[in-house]
Amino acid sequence: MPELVLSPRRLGARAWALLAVLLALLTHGGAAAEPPAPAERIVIGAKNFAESRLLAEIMAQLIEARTDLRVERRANLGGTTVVFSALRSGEIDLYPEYTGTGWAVLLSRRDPVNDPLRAFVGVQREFEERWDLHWLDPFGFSNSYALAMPKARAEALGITRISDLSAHAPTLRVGFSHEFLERDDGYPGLAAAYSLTLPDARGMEHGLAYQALADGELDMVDTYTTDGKLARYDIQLLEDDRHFFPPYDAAPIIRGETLRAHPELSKVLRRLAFSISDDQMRTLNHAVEVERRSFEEVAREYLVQRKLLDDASADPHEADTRGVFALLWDRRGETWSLVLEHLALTGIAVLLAVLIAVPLGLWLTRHPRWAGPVIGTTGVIQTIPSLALLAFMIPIPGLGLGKTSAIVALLLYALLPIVRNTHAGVRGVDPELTEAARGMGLRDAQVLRLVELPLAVPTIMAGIRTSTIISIGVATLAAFIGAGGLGDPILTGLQLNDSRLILAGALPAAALAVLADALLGRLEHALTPRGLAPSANSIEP
Amino acid sequence: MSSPPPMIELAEVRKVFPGPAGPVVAVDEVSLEVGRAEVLCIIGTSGCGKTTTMKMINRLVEPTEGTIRIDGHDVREQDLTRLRRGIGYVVQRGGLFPHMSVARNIGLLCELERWDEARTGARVAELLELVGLPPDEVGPRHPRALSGGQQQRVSVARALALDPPIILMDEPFGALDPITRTQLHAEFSDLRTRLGKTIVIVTHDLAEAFTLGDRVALMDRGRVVQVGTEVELREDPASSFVTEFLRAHLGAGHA
Repeated sequence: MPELVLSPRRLGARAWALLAVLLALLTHGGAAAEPPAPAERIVIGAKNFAESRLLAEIMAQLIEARTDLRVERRANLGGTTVVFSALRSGEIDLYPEYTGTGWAVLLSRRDPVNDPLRAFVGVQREFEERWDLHWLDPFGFSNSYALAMPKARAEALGITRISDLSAHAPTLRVGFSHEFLERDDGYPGLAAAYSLTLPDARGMEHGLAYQALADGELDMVDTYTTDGKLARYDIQLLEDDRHFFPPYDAAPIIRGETLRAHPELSKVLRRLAFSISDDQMRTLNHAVEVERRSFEEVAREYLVQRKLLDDASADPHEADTRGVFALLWDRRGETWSLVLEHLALTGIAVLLAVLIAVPLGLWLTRHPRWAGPVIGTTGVIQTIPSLALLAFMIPIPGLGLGKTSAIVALLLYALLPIVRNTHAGVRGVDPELTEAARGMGLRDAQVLRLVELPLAVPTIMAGIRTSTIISIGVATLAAFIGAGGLGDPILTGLQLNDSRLILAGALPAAALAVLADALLGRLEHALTPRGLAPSANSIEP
Repeated sequence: MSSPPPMIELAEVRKVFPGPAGPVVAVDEVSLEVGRAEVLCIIGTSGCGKTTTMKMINRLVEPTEGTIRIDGHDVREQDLTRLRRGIGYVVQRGGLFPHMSVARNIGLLCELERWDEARTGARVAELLELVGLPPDEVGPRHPRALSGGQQQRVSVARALALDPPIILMDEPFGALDPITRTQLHAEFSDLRTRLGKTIVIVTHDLAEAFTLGDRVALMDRGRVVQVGTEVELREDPASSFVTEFLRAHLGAGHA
């Protein structure tokens, strides 16, 4: 019996084909995340900046070379909070952390600590007692916070020390990383220690802040003493003359559980103890951030040079100077798999959102008392910043880091436009038509199925289109919680200050959004009952 | 000896709606009888309760008090869907579903009654012929492609699909131009003699009521002021309101 909006042949074939494609993408994209036997695998995490990834990569290669363990890398994990909660929940087994961060951020200690040894012993003891997390021997360098100004500007103002800043504070244009702005051992503590107020200090992504500094848009940024980009720009580090910044010695922290299961790990990682100086770390960072060499290659070269790894491939690597299109072309295989991963994330999220939001929207038309609260709630969800929503997912049991959390977050974002448009679409059907339908003897379900739903299709489809476009955009942030997708190159590009990599993620994402909108437009056209003007009562987002 | 019950009977029916400024009495103490194959027109100014009165017959509106019987049976004791499928319903602008073809609009109830395709198709063609539309040409089209008069004919055909004994028509010709309306009036009179349905028509056009109805029920502020033929209303008005209403609503041609 032909009913609803389309003959079953037309609708059915399309819907099944779409579902089949999405499932294929899911199995394809999900393959990497499937956990094999846990005993053979450890997961190394890294924060979303180059040094953290480099240290993680060095540890990963060493463990791979010296043990039977398989190592999975979870790079680009948001900020400290994200990576640490991943460690505590067992999503990852170890990651490189800094003593100062452990002290002030993770232990929330207010008392300043200036002695590196005291800081290390302090965090080591307390992490073990509180969380059964173990600090292994430090790598040997300290990556403290520092304030940086362009050398010419610093000289012109006569600034060499942080205490010199107060005289010029009101006129300085300052870009601090969001983490630095918030942390007690960052700007708030610094401001108190030096009685310093910087009225024009704004929060910025680190890579962008550097760019702005280089372009003369900013006078000062926060930086790290081992920052590889220090060599790239002509920069003056300001002396911390009141010794405010605590020591930031880098060391691996590892779960007690993992350490007991694989005692060989501590022996292997001890080979890295006190093996990297400040200078060396800066050189390594420079190699990836400025020379644009890969993390894998720089890590391998370091390990070979330290005779911790056999010299497998000694071919010298040149700096990467390809243009954006050459890069895109060379990365086409990788880009394609990222596109598939991205599509799987958004496709599954939107599909699930449709399955939830359309029935919910219809239910609301029958229970108008709930319409305000429910649509309001989905609206509130949408006002949560996307990165925050992604971060909220991590501690939820069963979600954690990766695709599941990303899909749930995307799904929550996708709800509002679909619920709202479904509700509005059905409510917008001419009441004379529904009354005629009821008056002639259609049951309520028949009125909905035969009259209201088909007439609401253009509006509902407009909601689904909006949700899809939003999801494709937000999904680029999913890389922050290790869910992959086209956000990966964007995030790496931001860390390396490499606009080509940013474009390598952003261009395909934009193309995907345009393509998806066009395809859904055609689907909308196909689903719109003939006899209705196309999009006659659609509510444009 | 008892005579058969009237086809439709309203006994002391009252409808009170909740309003922003307290309850509003829309229909008050209305008692009406419509005989078999009779055409009754309910007339009155807008807001007089005529549409509400009609909608209580197919229970689109439930009465607050009173009883409505069809063929002697209380409507509230019947299955709602069965009751409505036994009463054809025509609304002002046709109420045709714009996303369905003319044929599907007419055959929808047959489809829901699980008639087979051939039987539904034959019935649709028969009904289109009956209302004077060529089935092969009009059937596959969508309502949007039809004129107002054609749409109203299709609406009547749809109401007749399951051959119900009763038809309710809410301002059926109100949205049409005068020429089309006059033409449809003639066709209606022809149809009603052929089909023998009991028909209730709500209208605000007194001339139309006198043309189409065997009797007319004149309503004012929720109450039925007088029920009768044109002659009865003219010659024996129940109140000065009736006289005034007739004078105001019949032009020189009828006076």
